[in-house]
Amino acid sequence: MRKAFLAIIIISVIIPVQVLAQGEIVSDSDNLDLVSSRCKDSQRYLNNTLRPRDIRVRVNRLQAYRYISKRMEVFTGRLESNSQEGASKMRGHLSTLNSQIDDFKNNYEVYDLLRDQTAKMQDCDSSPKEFIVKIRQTRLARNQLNSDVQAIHDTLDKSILSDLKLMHDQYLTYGASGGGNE
Amino acid sequence: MGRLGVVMSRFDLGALRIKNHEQHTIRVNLATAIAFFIFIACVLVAVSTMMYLRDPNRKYDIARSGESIDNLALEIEDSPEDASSPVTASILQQKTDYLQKEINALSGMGDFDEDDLNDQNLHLNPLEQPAL
Repeated sequence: MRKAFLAIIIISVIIPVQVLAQGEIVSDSDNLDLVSSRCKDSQRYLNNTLRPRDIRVRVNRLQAYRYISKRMEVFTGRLESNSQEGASKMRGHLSTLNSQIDDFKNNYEVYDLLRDQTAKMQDCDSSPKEFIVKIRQTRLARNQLNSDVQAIHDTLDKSILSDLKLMHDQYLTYGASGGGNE
Repeated sequence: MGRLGVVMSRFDLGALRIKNHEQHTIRVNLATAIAFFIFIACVLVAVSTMMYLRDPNRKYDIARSGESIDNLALEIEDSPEDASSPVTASILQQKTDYLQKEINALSGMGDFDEDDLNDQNLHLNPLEQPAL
């Protein structure tokens, strides 16, 4: 009986401490207190660390995407002007790529606005719930941006590059006019 | 101000005479003319600076003279583009190699990973000590 009592006390003390230590379960009020006390640090991180890094990635990626699109445009035009195999397919991929680049650009603006609103929110310490909502919105917008980057990567890798390899094999087999039904 | 006729004085090299249609002569000396053009230049600089500062794309102006270009994707050489002759298998091979290099260069850039906004980075992890 004594041992059982002791075990219950130990369990009731040790388990909550462990759970807290792992950071998995924190009650809502604790969470709000935490956000109130540290939201200024979050804002500093968003503004001073993440913002410059995001802008650099956005500028570099958009420059590279446009550069690649331009090169592929010339290449596709060449296929088209010679009525070669794979021209229309490549045109379709290029059109998809350009539309995805536009989506990336537009979605970055949305994300940038949300991140800046979160970073510049006044009195976040007195309205932690609102701050948490803004953080969630920013996270969603960032996830969308990550999906856009992935979609462009898939178009470049799985569509355009794969088709270039396929065309290469076809041209080696059938010659430059292609052997397909286009 | 109306139609103006600007005549350089023959007797005073440092002066301009501006005549309007009513034959009223306004005498402008060299110092005044220089001051006027400096003022116009200042107005142009102020307007263009304001346009730059108000431009929403200003935040993307991150390149500064003297800095090296760190975008590897822009430094990858593509084969010289001949837009007229038919594409051959060897050109396709070159294009494939080029695109593969571009994809590799893009992989080295950030991809807006969700972890950048996790609780740890936002200092909202309960375990973390508050910043002093």
